[in-house]
Amino acid sequence: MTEAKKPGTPWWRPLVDGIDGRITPPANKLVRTNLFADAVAIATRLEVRLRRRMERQSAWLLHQYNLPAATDIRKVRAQLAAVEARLRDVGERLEDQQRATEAQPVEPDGPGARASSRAT
Amino acid sequence: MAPSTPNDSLDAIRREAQRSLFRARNGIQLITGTRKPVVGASPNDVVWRRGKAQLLRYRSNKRTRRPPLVIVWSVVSRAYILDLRPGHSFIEQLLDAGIDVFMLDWGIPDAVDSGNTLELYVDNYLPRALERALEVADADEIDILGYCAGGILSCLGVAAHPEVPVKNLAVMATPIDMSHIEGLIRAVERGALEVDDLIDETGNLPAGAVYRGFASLRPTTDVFKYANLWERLWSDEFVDGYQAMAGWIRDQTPLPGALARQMVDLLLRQNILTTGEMPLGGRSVRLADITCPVLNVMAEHDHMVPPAASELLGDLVGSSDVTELRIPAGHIGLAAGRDAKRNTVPRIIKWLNTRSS
Repeated sequence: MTEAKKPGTPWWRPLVDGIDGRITPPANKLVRTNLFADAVAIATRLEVRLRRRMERQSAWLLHQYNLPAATDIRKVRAQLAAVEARLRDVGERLEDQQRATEAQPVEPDGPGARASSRAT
Repeated sequence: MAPSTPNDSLDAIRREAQRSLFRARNGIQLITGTRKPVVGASPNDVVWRRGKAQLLRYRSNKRTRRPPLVIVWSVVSRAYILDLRPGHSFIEQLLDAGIDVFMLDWGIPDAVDSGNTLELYVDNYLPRALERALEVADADEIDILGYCAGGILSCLGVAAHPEVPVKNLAVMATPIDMSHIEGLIRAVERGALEVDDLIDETGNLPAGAVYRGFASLRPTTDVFKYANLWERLWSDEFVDGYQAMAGWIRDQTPLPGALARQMVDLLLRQNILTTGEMPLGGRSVRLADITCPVLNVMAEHDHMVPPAASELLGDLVGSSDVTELRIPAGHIGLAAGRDAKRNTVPRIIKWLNTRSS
């Protein structure tokens, strides 16, 4: 039995829904198979290998003329990022220490108290 | 059906002519990119920041309920899905219910963050952000709502930091048993694809790879969504909603490389969360140490995190008050759209209210 068309539905809608109904369930099933996952994995690895080989070759060519390649820039950027990350960690540790010091109650006979009593 | 009169036919022609005009206008605006829907519009203040992570507090003059609620967002998507459009916002609904809402947004990682690990998020950022929320809200306890991977971080954070006074823990679409996650992720699990094959020059798993991983689970959606768009292109409301949602789906965030390796090794390949214990920073974090009331919200039609991947959480936590909530929605529908507005948010609010002081 076919479903009654809602008023205002364009003429092409049942056609699109029909194609969707036929294509979507098997497509959803296919992308969940190991075969599909493996095929995508192989394609991805091939693409990565190809890209890396091309990068190596173009870097070799540029290095012949003492020119920096993209890989060199990448290395420098990675080193800068590592330094920045280290700075961030140190900054965060300092911030934590500062907070911990601020949170500590001042002892009445501690060095802080002596200094203040001397000042007055 | 009643026979149509000449007036009905005239009305139909008039309506179609008008829709064609609107369709042309909206189509041109979409193609030229001049139509930009407003997203994440609820006013907020950044009350804490560390690295790329920041804690937002939404402004409200209706704060009547305690404790405040901190939403712990996922590390792979943008947090504005919870505040997608005015009138269609998860956050707005929470604020209207009198809740003091905070959002812990991890930000967009770059090369500096490529070494970020689970330990950084769970032991450093999370407890500090929660402490700050307690301080700002002048509260003694806090409620947490974790979404997707943010749910994992929330569970680990609550288990690892008993010193943080968490009153209630709610998680949404949180994957615990990774053996139920389907798609390309299985190739990574079996070692057919390594994380390092996907890592880009910033040292992170690129946002595009994250998007493709999710999109591949529904391969025809991208094609057939255009049919829906064409059919309702005349409607400003529909086009705004379509653009906001489609924009968010494409707007994924990269995953820090170190975190991606850790997640693949521990969570995916070892499926370690199913054991109830997780090695973190040289010690073992036990989910059984979660003793506060727990709400586990699952989406029945979730193709990314099916309920089977989440339901185990109830057996692993040490709480005697565990509630499971199954919403007839998909992964995104759980957080945005009609299902979220009618089902998810009211039921989460009700659960929190029955357990708040």
